[in-house]
Amino acid sequence: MDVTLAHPWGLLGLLGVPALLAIHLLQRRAVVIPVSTLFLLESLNRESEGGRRVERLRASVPLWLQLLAVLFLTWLLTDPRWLDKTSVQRIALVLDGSASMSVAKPSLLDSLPDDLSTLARATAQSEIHLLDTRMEAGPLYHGPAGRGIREALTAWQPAGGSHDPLPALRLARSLAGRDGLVLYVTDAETPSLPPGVRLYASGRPIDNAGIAGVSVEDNKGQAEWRVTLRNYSTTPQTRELLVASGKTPVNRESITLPAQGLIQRQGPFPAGMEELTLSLTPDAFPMDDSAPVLKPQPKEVTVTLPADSGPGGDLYASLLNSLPAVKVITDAPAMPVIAYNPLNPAIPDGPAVIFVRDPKPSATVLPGALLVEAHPLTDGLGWQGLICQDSIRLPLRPEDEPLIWIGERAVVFLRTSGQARQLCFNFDLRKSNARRLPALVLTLHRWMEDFRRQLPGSETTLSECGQILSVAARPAPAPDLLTLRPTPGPETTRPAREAPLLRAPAFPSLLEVWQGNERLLRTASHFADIREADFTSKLTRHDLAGATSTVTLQHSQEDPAWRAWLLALLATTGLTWWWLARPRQKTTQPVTA
Amino acid sequence: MTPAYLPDPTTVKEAHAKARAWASLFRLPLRQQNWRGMTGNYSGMGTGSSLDFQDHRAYAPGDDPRHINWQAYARTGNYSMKLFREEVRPVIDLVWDVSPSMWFNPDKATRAAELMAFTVEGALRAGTTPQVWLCQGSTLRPVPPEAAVAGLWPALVPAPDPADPGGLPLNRIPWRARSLRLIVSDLLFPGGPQGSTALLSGQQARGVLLVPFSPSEADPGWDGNIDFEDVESGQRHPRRVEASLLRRYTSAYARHFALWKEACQRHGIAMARVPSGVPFTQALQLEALPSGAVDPWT
Repeated sequence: MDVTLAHPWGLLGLLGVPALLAIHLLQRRAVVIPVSTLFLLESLNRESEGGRRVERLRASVPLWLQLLAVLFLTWLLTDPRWLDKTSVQRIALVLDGSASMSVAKPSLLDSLPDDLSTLARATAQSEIHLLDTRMEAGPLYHGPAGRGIREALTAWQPAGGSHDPLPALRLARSLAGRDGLVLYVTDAETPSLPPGVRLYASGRPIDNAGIAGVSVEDNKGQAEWRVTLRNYSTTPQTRELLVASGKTPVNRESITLPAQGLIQRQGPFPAGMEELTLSLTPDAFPMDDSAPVLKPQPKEVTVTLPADSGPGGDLYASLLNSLPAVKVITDAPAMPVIAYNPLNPAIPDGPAVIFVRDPKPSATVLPGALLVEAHPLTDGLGWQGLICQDSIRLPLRPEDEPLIWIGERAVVFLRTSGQARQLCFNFDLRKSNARRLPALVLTLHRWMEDFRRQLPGSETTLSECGQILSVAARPAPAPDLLTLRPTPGPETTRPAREAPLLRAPAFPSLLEVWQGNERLLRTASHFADIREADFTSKLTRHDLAGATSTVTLQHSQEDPAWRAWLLALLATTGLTWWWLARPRQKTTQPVTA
Repeated sequence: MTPAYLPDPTTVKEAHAKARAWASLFRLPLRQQNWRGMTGNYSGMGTGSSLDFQDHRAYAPGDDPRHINWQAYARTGNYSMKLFREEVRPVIDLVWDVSPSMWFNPDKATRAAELMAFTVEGALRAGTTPQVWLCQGSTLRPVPPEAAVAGLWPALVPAPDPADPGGLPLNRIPWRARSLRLIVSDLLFPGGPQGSTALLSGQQARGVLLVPFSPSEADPGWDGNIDFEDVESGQRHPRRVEASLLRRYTSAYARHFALWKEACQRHGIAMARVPSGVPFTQALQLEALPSGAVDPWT
């Protein structure tokens, strides 16, 4: 079995050795002693002058005893333990994958591998798991402590937004086992860590200022970019905002941001230009210092009005025309708007918006309480003011998903028709106040957006780094592979079925998604997580106090001879005391010449 | 006024009181030699009126007819005279070293005072009044007999001179011929016994050296850095003492007295070192008695 030290700080006891030697080397203060035989002393040759500060070390018995006592004491203080070679110490490190860790990474590389080596040395064998809180891939590293840890940390690129580390910490605990060590490697105080998880924070406050958001708006037919700049520090910061198209500067402006303040700047897209790059003077956190900007061009959803709109047909036209990127056409729409006629109850398959149209005159108002089901289409919308008259109705099928009830009647519901879904308004729009309710437009807008996400086609968007992209791949016979072309970055491919899982690039850049020869998406990603860009509360704190001792105690046995060392310490101390305090031998017999 | 380094008068007087008892146990070595002097109790060099027969010689006119050996005249018909040993009081010269080294520590000071008292009492017990001299380096001062007997001699001790090289000025002492020359000194002064022992044994005198010493002088147990201060001159001598230096010191100390002892043996002088720290009678039995520096009363 190998030996290890449960308390390596005990080695400081070895400082007693030079201290003892220094004490013995230093010339003691001269003691004045009257003598009657000075003439004899004067006749002896001198070996050392009394005035010297340092004298030659004398190998006296007390010196050796004191040195031995120091060694025994050091040995006992370090608490040497014998390692069990069959025992394995498991250490799971959960690396905070958020973007702010990119600032802490250099200091992390300086300290973490060494600390891990120290922990690993406390046991005969160690097994280290390196996880990322983003959990998008497998473990970053799995193996013994050593060079591989440093290489894995070097290759690791934290760029995520703020997220919950608990799933990764739970996984780490399961990997490390009950007695294993779990370290959460981050850059700030984390008050709600699970029990048994140690914090390893390596952050530092920096004066960061950067781009907090980018948008492009239409101003009277002219595309206009708008950028929000934020100073996260407690002191005013001055940055230069550079607007460039490619490598050509378009505008340059020096901006002084007040402490913890916001400033917005906006400007038109130059004629003929579809993309821009906004950049600030670089600082310690570069992710929010630049943002590519594109003119958004959403996919267009084509709709048709009911064939026989009749009186009130303008109602549907004005309603649908108010929705963005929705175009009313007359033929082959992507999303027909259908007026239900009980005389012709056949409803075509495929996505559609269905309204009931009752030719009868006015009737009584529908009685009963209004109930809104919990659903993304209705979430947060105020449908409570809906009043509608009784009319003919679509028969509700068991598989239908009601959204809004009035009494016993589902006035809005979802119907699944084949592979498609249909949004059904089971009341006559003309005989209700729904036109005056924003909830109607917003529900339709959500419905169209949801449909647009699933609609194959080309679009240009702005996105935030790491966000899920809405890409709809075309089904077979279209190519089964999607080609991702980031700028900058290498080209990669993904199966078409993974289109819903695609995310925007982790760093500010452009990305194009192609399916065969068709470009499905072009997006400009910028960093806009203000929680990650705020470094005012970052700190360094390594909660490793006692970790080495704990690991050592768990995987080792105490030195069976510690009592003997303790007795030896007491013996040497006692002998030293006795030697120094012993009475000098006195000669009672005359010296016989 | 008594110098501060001397033993206090009480100690001196106590020593003289005890010395009377010690003088009944030991006596000065007066029996190994014939003396000259006034009538006394010890054999003299010439003929006298004691009962001890010494010699015969032919009668000469003027001789005391009471000492004619009539039995010899009856046998031979010639007058012959019977001669008897002369009985005299010996002449004793006492020299006391009163340099500060004699009072190096209380034990040694007591032992020195005891030896001085013993020599005075021993002389008185021999029926003679000694001539006492005090030596303080090169300074010599006589002590009236009554002051020596009464223990009042500390008042006569001259003040030490730091510039005095030390030693015993034996050549300046008016020694009396055929005397017992008894010196009480620790012999701790530079230089050897050259010349001194010859003075003690000259003029058919008998020399005795009683040397008080302290065991702490023989084995001082010094260790480390020490600023030695000479008790006589006050001179400082900084020195770091290690085991090797201590060994060399004890060797030099032993060699110093070995030289004295060898010189004394060459001149027939009894020399005895008397340690302090032990009872006086025990101290005399260690070396003084075997060497003949003192005799037991039989």
